[in-house]
Amino acid sequence: MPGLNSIMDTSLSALFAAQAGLATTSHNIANANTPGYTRQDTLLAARRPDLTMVGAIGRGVEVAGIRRIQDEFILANLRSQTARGQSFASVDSALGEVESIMGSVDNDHLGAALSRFFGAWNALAQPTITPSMKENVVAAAVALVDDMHAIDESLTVLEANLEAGIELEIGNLNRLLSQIGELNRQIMAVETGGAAANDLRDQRDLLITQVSAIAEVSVIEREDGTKDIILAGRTMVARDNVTLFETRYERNDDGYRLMLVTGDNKQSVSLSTGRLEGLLSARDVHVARVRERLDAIAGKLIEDVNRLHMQGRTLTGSGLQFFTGDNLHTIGVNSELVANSARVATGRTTAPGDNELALAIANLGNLSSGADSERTVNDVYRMLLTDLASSRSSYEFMVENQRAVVATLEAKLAAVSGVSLDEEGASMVRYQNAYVAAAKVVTTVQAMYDTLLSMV
Amino acid sequence: MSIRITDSYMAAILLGDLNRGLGNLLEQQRMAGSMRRINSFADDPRAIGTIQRYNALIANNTDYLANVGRSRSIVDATDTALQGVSDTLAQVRELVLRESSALSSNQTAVVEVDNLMDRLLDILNTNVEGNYIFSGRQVFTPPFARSGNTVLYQGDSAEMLARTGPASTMAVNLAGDAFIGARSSSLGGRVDLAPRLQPATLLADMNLGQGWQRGAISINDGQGNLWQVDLSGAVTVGDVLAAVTAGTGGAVTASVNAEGTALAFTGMGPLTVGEIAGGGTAASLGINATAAGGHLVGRDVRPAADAGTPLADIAALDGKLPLGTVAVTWQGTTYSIDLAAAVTLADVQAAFAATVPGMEVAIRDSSLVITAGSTDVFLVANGDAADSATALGINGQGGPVRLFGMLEDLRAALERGDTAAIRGAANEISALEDMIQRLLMKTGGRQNSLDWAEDVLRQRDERLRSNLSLEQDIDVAKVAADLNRAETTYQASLLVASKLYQTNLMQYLR
Repeated sequence: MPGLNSIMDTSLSALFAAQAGLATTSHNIANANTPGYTRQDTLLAARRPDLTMVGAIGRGVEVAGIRRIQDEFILANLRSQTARGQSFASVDSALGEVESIMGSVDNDHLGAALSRFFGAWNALAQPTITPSMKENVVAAAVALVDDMHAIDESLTVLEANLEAGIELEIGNLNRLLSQIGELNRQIMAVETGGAAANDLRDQRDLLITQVSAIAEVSVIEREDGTKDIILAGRTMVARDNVTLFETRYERNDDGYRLMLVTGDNKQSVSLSTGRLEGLLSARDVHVARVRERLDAIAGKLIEDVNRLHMQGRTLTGSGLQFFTGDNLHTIGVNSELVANSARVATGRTTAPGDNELALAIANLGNLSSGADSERTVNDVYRMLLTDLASSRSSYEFMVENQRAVVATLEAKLAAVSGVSLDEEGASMVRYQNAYVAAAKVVTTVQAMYDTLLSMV
Repeated sequence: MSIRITDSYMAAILLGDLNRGLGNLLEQQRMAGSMRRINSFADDPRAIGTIQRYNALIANNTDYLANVGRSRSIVDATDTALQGVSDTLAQVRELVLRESSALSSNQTAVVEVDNLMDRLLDILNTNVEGNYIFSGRQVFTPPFARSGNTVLYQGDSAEMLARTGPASTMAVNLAGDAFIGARSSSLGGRVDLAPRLQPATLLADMNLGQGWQRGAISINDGQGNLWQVDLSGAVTVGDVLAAVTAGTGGAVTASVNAEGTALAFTGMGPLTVGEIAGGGTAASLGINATAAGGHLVGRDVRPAADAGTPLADIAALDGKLPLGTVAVTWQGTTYSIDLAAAVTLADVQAAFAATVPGMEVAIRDSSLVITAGSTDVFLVANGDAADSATALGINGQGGPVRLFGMLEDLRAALERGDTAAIRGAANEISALEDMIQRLLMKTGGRQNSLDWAEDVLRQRDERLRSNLSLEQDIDVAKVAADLNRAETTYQASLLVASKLYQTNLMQYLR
């Protein structure tokens, strides 16, 4: 038979358990709004009973542990979707920059400059002829070239900004990886003692989620509670061993390009998704494609106008190139024409009224019927705009979509690991009642002692 | 589904909804603010290309409209100059008529010709914005320069092209070489080939095709009888004749005169035919006159000759039918044109066109004019005893049509007092007038083309702008409604959000 002491002991265990539960509840309430916090739960278990002649008699309750309630599957999914979303968002924002460089819908400045240039040729192609019209053609050409150079410069600045963004993200990533390594060490130290390092784990999960925004991450948890971080197929964090990323400029066809390298042998890394990958692909794919198209426009303009203008004759000479250079960066108006606009040719003869070449050049500004071979500068320009607009639209859509996916996963995760104040309130009442009841048992045992002692 | 509803879950859902509501509101506000459906490339990628295309097309179209305006200034200046040349030629003709009957050389007439030459130089050296319009492509060189008593052409024969549409160019200038005989030779205009007046002749064809004025006439026979004859129902000359005879109860008989040129009224005299209440009917019929006796003959009211005119109806060919052959010598070849089978003037034209390539017979002011497509002199003569070339007014020598050359020759003839040469100038003046007329018609045609092109371009502009508007502008009513809805939705979410956190178990715990 259990003695009164043993009953007192059982009630005391209940008092402790209620206190522990209340402490966890209070911890949960305190961290209701802490980012990355995972709600905790007090695990209670009945103590091993005393085996007596009449059977096993319970000896009360013990706190088996404090548990984090986390869904690792949702978390992993959230991380990979976040990585995708951030990748799209980086490209989308770069495309937005390109759109504003090209002038958006209201201010189509390159289109307007092209129209003005061919409009000036049209005016020159028209009887009657005045010297100021040649001046106009040259002025419109200079304005067009200036606009192209401004676009070229803005694209270069955008590329530099993207590279600065890449450097910044590399810095962030390295910092996060180092912190994760440090947390791994601490968790290992705490958990070797048998206790769960819940809050350290919360912090580590939060950091891993932040890493996943920068680059898609795979996580492998070891027996000792540490987590290995794998990026682009490389283990960047193994227990508290951290490998960092570096940037390096390497020479390629277009000059120097920023590359991402890691490890002792500085191998280049290709990331699958995430903000870093978005920035890299914005620079290498999207901005590069716009530049390629603009180069094609400049090239076509130079080639077509020069081919006609070089057939021309004027009183002061013949066969001048109209434009120099061969792409967006190098295009220029022939300095001889800028110096002396009378050298702009309008015809294949020296007759001042011969306007056949000017008519042909003005026709280059028309829109074609659509066949590839008949494409005009304006057509190529329109294709650039349509292409830019459709990738902008699809990225905006994907960003929106991804945002919804991430929000859904975040909500799901919040449903599993978030703190519900109602629930905590209920727990509070529950633990309070348990505490009151246990205390009542203690009082009862006390009364029994008193009765027993008065008998003596 | 049973799911734990936690505070952070509610916050995440709510924030997402609020964000979406606000985003929607912002989009609607942007549309309402800019009045554009498309404010970013991402809004409608297909429309971006279309809008750019429309903008480029509108810019092109605006250029073409400006081109039409500038072309018009050249064509109009050309028209004015040609009118000036035509007026000056009329004065030359007057001078020639006056001087061809003068007995001795007249130095004042020489000065007059000098002045007329200077005036023509002035007219033809006209420029638009510093461009000489009669110089071909040598737009900065005056087309004609006087050196002593001769005038030289300094331009070329090239055309200046103007672009009046995406696929259309037109020539806008007339090269001045047309005035120095560099284009064609011509001959003709000597015999009046107007057909006789007949009962079947349509009143609308009378007066060389000018027609008549429908109405009534008054007839006074000088014996106290005054008739008013209503002719408003008449269609042919015969109808008029019958109406007059009937309207006067037979007291006045109407007929066509023997020559077939005019109307003739016969009755007791003196006959007076006049208008009623300020009308113009009698005048248009050529008989508003008074005769001393009982026979009143009006003026010549014959219709104009045209391709369909039967040769038998032409008074000038009386006794000359059927026509014989005409011999044409041109560029070293002599062609014999057989006109025996010709029944109408069109047959004569066809016979020429078939026999002599490059030579054209036109009917102008009821006369035949032969134009050859080169500047070579050609000869037209009677091919047999029928004297057909003489009868048709086309015998003689055809030569280049020269404006200043004619005046130079005229000036020399006046100085010499060579009356025959002076009279000869009249023929060349006719040919010149003919050419100026053709050039005026060409210019008029260009003016019409420009009007038409401008119409087309304006319609195109309107259409492009309305298409552009459909593509990029908002439907104001729809956006206003959408904006309102977005605003209401957002306010509702805000209201819900403010209520949501008010209920919590903690408030009920004591």
